[in-house]
Formats: sequence, C-alpha cells, structure tokens
Amino acid sequence: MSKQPDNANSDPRVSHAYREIADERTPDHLDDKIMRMAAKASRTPYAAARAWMRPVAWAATIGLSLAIVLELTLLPQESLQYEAAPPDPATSDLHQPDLAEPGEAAAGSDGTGTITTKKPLAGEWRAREMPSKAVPAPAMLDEDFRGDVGADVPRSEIAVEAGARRSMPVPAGLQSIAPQFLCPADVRDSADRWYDCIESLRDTVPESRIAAELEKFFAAHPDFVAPDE
Amino acid sequence: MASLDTLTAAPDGLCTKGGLAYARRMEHAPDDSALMLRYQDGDLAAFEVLYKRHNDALYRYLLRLCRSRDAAEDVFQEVWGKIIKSRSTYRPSAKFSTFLYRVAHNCFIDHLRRNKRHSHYTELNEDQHSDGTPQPDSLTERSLAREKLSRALLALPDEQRDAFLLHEEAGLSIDQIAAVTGSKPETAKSRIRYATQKLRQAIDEPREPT
Repeated sequence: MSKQPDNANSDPRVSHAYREIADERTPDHLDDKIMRMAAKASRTPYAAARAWMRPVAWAATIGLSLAIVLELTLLPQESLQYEAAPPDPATSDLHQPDLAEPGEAAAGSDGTGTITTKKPLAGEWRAREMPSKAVPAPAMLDEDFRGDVGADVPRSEIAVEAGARRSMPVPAGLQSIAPQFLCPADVRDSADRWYDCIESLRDTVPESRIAAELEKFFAAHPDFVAPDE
Repeated sequence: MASLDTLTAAPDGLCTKGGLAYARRMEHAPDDSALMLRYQDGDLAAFEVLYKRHNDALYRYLLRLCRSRDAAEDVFQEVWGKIIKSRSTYRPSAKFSTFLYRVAHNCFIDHLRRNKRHSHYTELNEDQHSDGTPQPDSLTERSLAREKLSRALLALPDEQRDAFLLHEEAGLSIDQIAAVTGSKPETAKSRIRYATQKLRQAIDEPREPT
C-alpha cells in the first residue's frame, strides 16, 4: 500500500466509498482488441527474427572460425607454390639464364643435366624445360634462396636450382637484384666485377651467402682465377 | 514474492477485483517489469498477465478522468497501443505502473487538446450500473451515496480528480503521482487533500429530500 505520509492525505471512508462505486471492468471487446494488437506486434519481423537469430549467429560464428583456421592452415603451403607471374619488362633480364651464355653453360656443366638457355616468352615464366634432374623440392629451393646451400651440393645442381628458382616472382623494389644473387646483374656481367662485389660483401653478408654466391660465380666462370690464388 | 509461474496459474478473478487487485499490484510491482521484458522477447502470455493485472484499474481511471465512456475506450486503446509499441525500447528504470499511468495521463492530455469540446462530453450516468442497466426508481441509501460520491468525483477539477484517481486506482505514492502529472510532490499532496475533503463532504451531506 502507499506510504504513511500518503495515507495521511487520504480518508479511509472516502477510499472505502470509492471502492464500492468503482466496480467497472474493461469491456470484453476492448480486451480482445488489445490482445490482438499485442499478438500482432509480437509477430513482427523483429520478434520473429529473434527466434532464429541465435542459431544463425552460432552457425555464422562457427563457419567463420573454421574458415579462418583453414586459411591459416593452408597459408604456409600456398606460399611455397609458385606460379607464373607476368614478368616485368623492366626486369626481363632476370628471366634469362644468368648462369652463362649457351656455350659456357654447356661447358660448365658436368653433363648431368641440361641447363635451359631458352629465354622464356613474356608471360610464360615457368620452369618448363627443367633439366633431367628432378626439380628441387620447395624446401630445398627455400634453403637455397636463403643461401644455406650445403657444401656438398654440386655446382651443376646449384645452377639447375638457380634456374628453377628463377621462376619465382621477384618482389617489386628488388628487381634490380635477383633474390638468389648478392650482386646485381650488371655487375655479374663481368667476372672481375662480380668477384670484387662478392669480396666487398664479406664483412656485411653472412658467410653462407658469400659461399653460395661464390658457388654460383664459379659455376658461371669456372676458369676464373681469384686474385689471391 | 510469488514466482511468475504462480502468478500465471492464479485464478482469473484474483487479479481483477478492485481491492485485491490493488494490493497485489503493489506487492508484485517488480514483476511487472519482468513481464514486460518477457513480452519484449516475444512472450505473449507474459503480456496477457501484465494486461489483466492493470486493465480494469486503468479503465476506471480513464473512465472517470475522461467523463465519457467512448473517450475512455479510445484513450484506453491508445495507451496500450503505445505500451505495446514501446516494448522494444522498454527499460525497467521505474515501476511499470508509474510508466503505464504516465502514458495514460499524457494520452488524456493529448485527447483533451484534440477534442476541445471536452466540457460538452456526455458525462457518465452514474445512475447506471457498469453494464448499462438503469436502477429501479426506488433508490436505496447505498445507491444514493454512490450517486453523490460519483457526482462529487466528476465535479472535481481535473487535476484534483486525476491525483485522487492515481492514488486510489493506481496506488501510486505522492512522488509517483507528481512524476506522472509533472508537478511537484507538494502540489500533488495538496490536490489529493482537497479532493478527499470535497468527497468527504459529499459523503457526509445529509440526504436531500426527494
């Protein structure tokens, strides 16, 4: 009931008398109308949507989570797969076999594999004419890319690997220097300059990379005599 | 406090009669908000319980405020229509009864403004029962007392009648009445006091000779 201060303003006799006359009830037709109104409002798209929104939200959340997990799971494998990328005309020299001129390449190899000297057509930057030796596994390519070439890897194989690796797209900004070489292409045109470049990088580049570069150098220039020899 | 299941299982008559409904309303006021929130989620049964808990008192309030049965029914529909529409944005920041009667009061004010011929409305014929059946010519003392009180109530100024009805029908406190009517608590208190005095005089008046 009301608080004490409120009761002080009301008269029990008046309240009782009022309660005796206040016996009206809402007409039935009015009740029906209001309930129909309430029922119609509860069937609005908003109310109906709430019934199935929760399971849909759960399904969307689970589906999105699975998609993200699958995407993250597949991502490392996809990064090792390389496909043809339209070569940049500005760096078309990268597509050429940097190992050597056709004649020198043939002379340099030990015959265990043919080195492709065919200049790829634009847009066809694939290692199609791979040598008879098996294409190195992506892992090996990756290692070589980082310069971690084992000391016992034959030069010819390194050359083949280099040729295969050449099909990997070169990131923009680094197109002046092929990723598998420490020295730029214009320097590598000359054996002396290439050797000098390698020597100049000894203090700044890891020894393994220097060794790899030297391997490539001597693969391209097997008759080169180092100044200190 | 009774649970919702207990309330829904209560007999229909338990929540509709005047005095008992008044007491139950005040006791279970917090459940009104819970019912409204359940209706917000689409529970029509919760709204039905809430409606049956307040419909008769609200109807009587509007009936004596509007002084016209047709006007009371129109405003009654308008009030519940607004309550239903507001269910999606309803927040239990205050008692539901305060919210309900604030809407009712505002709808009545809007009704007055729309229909400036309020003073020409056919007043409620308090000689009739609620079902419209006229009383017999030989009026009893009780019937006369009822008639005097009804006439006195209808003769009150709108503000005093409003405050009195909010106090008696809705069971609102002085502060709540002030919040509903947009007035100060002292103003609401004085309105109830004046209304009660006038009605008491009407009850105590000697019977006029016929």
